[in-house]
This record gives sequence, structure tokens and C-alpha cells, in this order.
Amino acid sequence: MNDVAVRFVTRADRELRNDRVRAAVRHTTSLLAANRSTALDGLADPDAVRDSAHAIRRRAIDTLPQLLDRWAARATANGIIVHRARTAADAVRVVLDLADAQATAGHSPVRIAKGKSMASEEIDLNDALEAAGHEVVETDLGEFIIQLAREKPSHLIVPAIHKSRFDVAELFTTDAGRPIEPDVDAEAAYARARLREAFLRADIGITGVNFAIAETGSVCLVENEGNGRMCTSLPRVHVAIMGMERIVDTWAELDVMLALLARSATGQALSVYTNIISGPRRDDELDGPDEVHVIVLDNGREAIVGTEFDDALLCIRCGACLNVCPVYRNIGGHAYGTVYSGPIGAVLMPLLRPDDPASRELSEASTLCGACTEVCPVRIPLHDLLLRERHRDAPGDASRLRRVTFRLWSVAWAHPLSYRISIHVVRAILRLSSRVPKLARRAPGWAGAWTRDRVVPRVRR
Amino acid sequence: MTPALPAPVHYSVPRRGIDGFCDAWHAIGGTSERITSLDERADPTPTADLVHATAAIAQTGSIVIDSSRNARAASLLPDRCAFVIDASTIVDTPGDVLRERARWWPGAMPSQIVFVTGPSRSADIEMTLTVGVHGPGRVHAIIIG
Ligand code: SF4
Repeated sequence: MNDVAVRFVTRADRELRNDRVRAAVRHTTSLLAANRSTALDGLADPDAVRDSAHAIRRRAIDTLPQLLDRWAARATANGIIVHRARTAADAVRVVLDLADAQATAGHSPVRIAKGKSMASEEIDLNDALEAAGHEVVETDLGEFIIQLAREKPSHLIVPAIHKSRFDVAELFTTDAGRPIEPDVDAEAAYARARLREAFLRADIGITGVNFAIAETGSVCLVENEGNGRMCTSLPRVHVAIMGMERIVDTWAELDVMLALLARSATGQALSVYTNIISGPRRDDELDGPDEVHVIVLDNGREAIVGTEFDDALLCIRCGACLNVCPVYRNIGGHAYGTVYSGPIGAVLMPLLRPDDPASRELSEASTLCGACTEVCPVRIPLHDLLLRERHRDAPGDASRLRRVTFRLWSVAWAHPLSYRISIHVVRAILRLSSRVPKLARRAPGWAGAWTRDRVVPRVRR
Repeated sequence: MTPALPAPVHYSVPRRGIDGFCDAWHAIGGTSERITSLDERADPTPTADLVHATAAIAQTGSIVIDSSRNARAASLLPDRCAFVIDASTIVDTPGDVLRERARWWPGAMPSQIVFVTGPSRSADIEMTLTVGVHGPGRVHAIIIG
């Protein structure tokens, strides 16, 4: 595993030297974290609501097969076509078949407008659709920027968190073939006009799902821009992709989840558009898609259910844990090299991709400070899960040297005399080094990275 | 097995009724007027499509619309949009709609229900707020009664 570990560290190290990205990520995550805590204060008893949300999500995971069956039966009765996809390839296949059906119906090339969906990122859907000759446009402003840059999102909620308005102006200028000013309103206006065309011409709209609701066979989708509503309203066919764990039982439960989701994500009481979709256009309705498909994606999730790690499936993808994570805040999302980043990425990727060493090593990408656990709206014990993953992955045969060192340490500190001697030795070293401060700042090897910017505290008697 | 209903969500500063709704709606960038009948409108904004609300929520400043009463495009494609709200349908919390589904939709569910909470917005670039990025950037509530 060692050379793989170097890979994450190397990427992290590279990002650490990218001052522009670090500044942008810090700026945005600080604002989001502050907005979140103000918004949670708007609830009379936020901790009680979080407990309630935890219980709701926990019960959903404990009864997942029944809940999904119940949802699917109602959804089907409403006219929604439900597809179950065990693997990423299965899910991609479903979408490709739907696109092919449009092509056969004479809409060629097939034009696809996409709303924000992490599940679609997870299965690399865009690459597959483009390879098959279809036109795909990301329509969330942040996702559109990322698509033009040919990159991956680097934050759950703010995919282009690492781009400045100057970066965006450059990308838009190239896309437009005329200068677009580095002004946020001008950039938004360009995106509005450019993407409006895409919406009006799209044959298929693809979105994610925030929650499926079993009670009525509905799916709930939240967003701020209106692009999600366009994707679910204007094209003939709407395809929604949901992680199989993203389900609640009742609308009363949805009430609790919605009270936390936007507050934790952006600090809003509710997102601008909370859509609840219960089927294709009804005969007495004026507009809406003729077909609604929901793809229920497993892709490694079912294998987690029932293990000691399955609290990871409670996640509602609010991004709050990213915003407070000292690791994420310093290296951004791309350093992780996986679709999910930050604390939840570090927990989830090793579980979703147990056979991929690059995913598996991410449980090391944390200081275990616990800030993530503190903010998680559904109370996932994130740092505890990371620790358990590390424990699972730790080689049983710790090196001799390591075992002897820890053994000696525990013996030494178990006896008052040897404990006191050890403290005297450390104090003597520190006293010596404080006489030669320059030397103290240049400890050898990796220790130097610590001593360069830090003052060693004095050890008391 | 029917699980117990989760406890209702309570708020630090409860907003109630028409005034509460207007406070919340204005705080997120909406405008409003209050009249007794639609014929009474002083400034009938001609370019705005009128969208008929099913309900409105004081706590969050949300307007609930559904596809059985309005074209979806009417509240989505124009630059500005006006919602007509019957004062008697203004409730206190999102739970008053979500937990009372049968009161608002006694028959078959409409294919789409939307809680509209302010103008279309984005903060995707440098966290700078910009409105009207895809949906209407100017939203107006006409409260009747
Ligand atoms: S783990 Fe918790 S805090 Fe992090 S994204 Fe998921 S729900 Fe939000």
C-alpha cells in the first residue's frame, strides 16, 4: 500500500502549493460554515432535530429493501419507470438505451440537459454519453464551468469552488468566442442565455435525487437556480439517478430532513426550489415530461448495509463536513482524486471501492479532529468510522521496532520515577534548543516541517 | 409497521400569518402587495405570468405551487413572475404543508409540486450572490384577502 499512500500525499502536497486554489477554497468554506451555524440557530432545538434526522435515516437503512420496494410499487403505479442498477455500467447502459430510443425516434444527435447529480459523476455518465455521440450540457452554473474546464467537481455543493471569476471569464470567453467580463452578474447572464437554448432543445433531462419518498412513490429534488426544474419540466424524457440509500418513508420525515439539508449546506431555510415529483405529466396538466425514469443505483452501497460502517449511508450530501475539515480546507477536493472528497469522501470511498487502493488509502486523509462529526446534520460518527477503517486496514504484524517502542513507552510511563526522568530529558532538550532558536526551527527530516512554523510548548514539571 | 411520526420542527423565531410570510419573503428578495380582489390591481405587471399558489409558508417565505393548477413553464421561463396567494392558505411552517398532504392534495398527486423560496439564485462563483440565473430573478407575491 505504501506507494499508493505516496500518491495521495503527493497530490495533497501539490495542491498545498497552489495558493490561488487554497485561498478560494478557504474563502468559500469559511462563509458556508458561518452561514450554516447561523441557520441552525434558527431552529429552536437543532440538536433534537438532528437526533430525529439520525433516527429517520437509520431506520431507512435498517429497512432499506422493504422501503425501496414500497417506494418502487407506488412510483410504478404513478407511471414512473423504475430501473435498478447494480453497477455503474448497468446504470450507464439504462441511460444509453433511453438515448438510443430518442435517436431512433428521429432526434439525432440526442440532446441532453443535465442538472447537478453526484450519482452521475460517480458513474462517469457524461463520458459514456459523449462517446456514443450524444450532446450533454451541464446546466448548474458551477457544473457548467467545470464541464468547460474539463474537470471534476471539487465540492459537493459548490463544484467550481476552486475557480475565481477570472478563471470563469476565461472559460466563458473561449466558449462564447467573444469577451465575457470577469464580473459575476455578466457571467451568470451569459450562462443563462447560453443554457436557455440547451433547455429548450433538450430531448432528455437528467438530474439527481435528494430523497425518494416511499409513502407516495415520489422523488424530491432541491436546487437554487431553476436548472433542475428546467431539466425535469421541459424535455420529453426526465431521467433521475438516485443512490439507493437516499430514501425516506413519509412526508413527515421529509419535513425533518428538509429543515436540516439547506441549513447545513448553504445556510438557507429552504433551497429556492424544492421539487417533489410524483410522475410524468398527467392528462389534465399543461406541460411536463411524457416519461419519467428513476435509476436506483447500488454501485457498492448494498454491500455496506449491515456492516459496522453502514452509518456512512445516512449521508444526505450537504457538504457541511467538507467546510470544517482542516484537511479539505487546505487541499481542496481534487487532491483526493475521487468523486467524493472531504471527510465523507474519506469514509465512503474505501467502502464503495474496497478493491481500489487509491480509494482505500483515503481513510488516512484526516487528522481525526472530529470537526466533521460535530457538524454532520444526521450525526454520522465520521472520525470514528475513519478510525475503524484504519484499524481494519492496519497490518496485523506491526514491525518489531514499533512494538518494542510502544512497549517501552507504556512501561516507562507506568512508573513515577521513569516518567519523571523522561520529562527531565525532554525539558533538557528543549532548554538547549531554545538557546539556539535557529537550530530548533530546523529539525531534521519530516520533523522540520513541524518545527519550521511552530513554537514548541514548554513542558511543565 | 408504521413508525412513530417524527416530532414537529420548532423555530427560534416563529413567523406566523400574512405579516410573518411577508417578512420572510422580503428577506430573501421577494416583493409583495395585498389586495382584496385581483381586479383591484393598481399596476397589472403585464409581462409577468400569474401563477396560482396552493399555499404559502410564513416561517420560510415559501410559495407552494403545483402542476395541476399552473403550467410549469409559467413560473420558470420568464424573467419575473407573480404568484397569487389566497390569504387563507398561508400556514406557519413547512410541516403544515408536508404533514397535511391530504388537506392540500386530497386526490391524485400532481406530477410536480414546488416550494418556491425566493428568486432563482446562484452563489457558485466566489460565493457572490447573483439572481435570475435560470428561473425568474424578480418574484412578486399578490396576497388576496
Ligand atoms: S457526512 Fe454528514 S456533514 Fe458530510 S455531507 Fe454527509 S450529511 Fe453532510
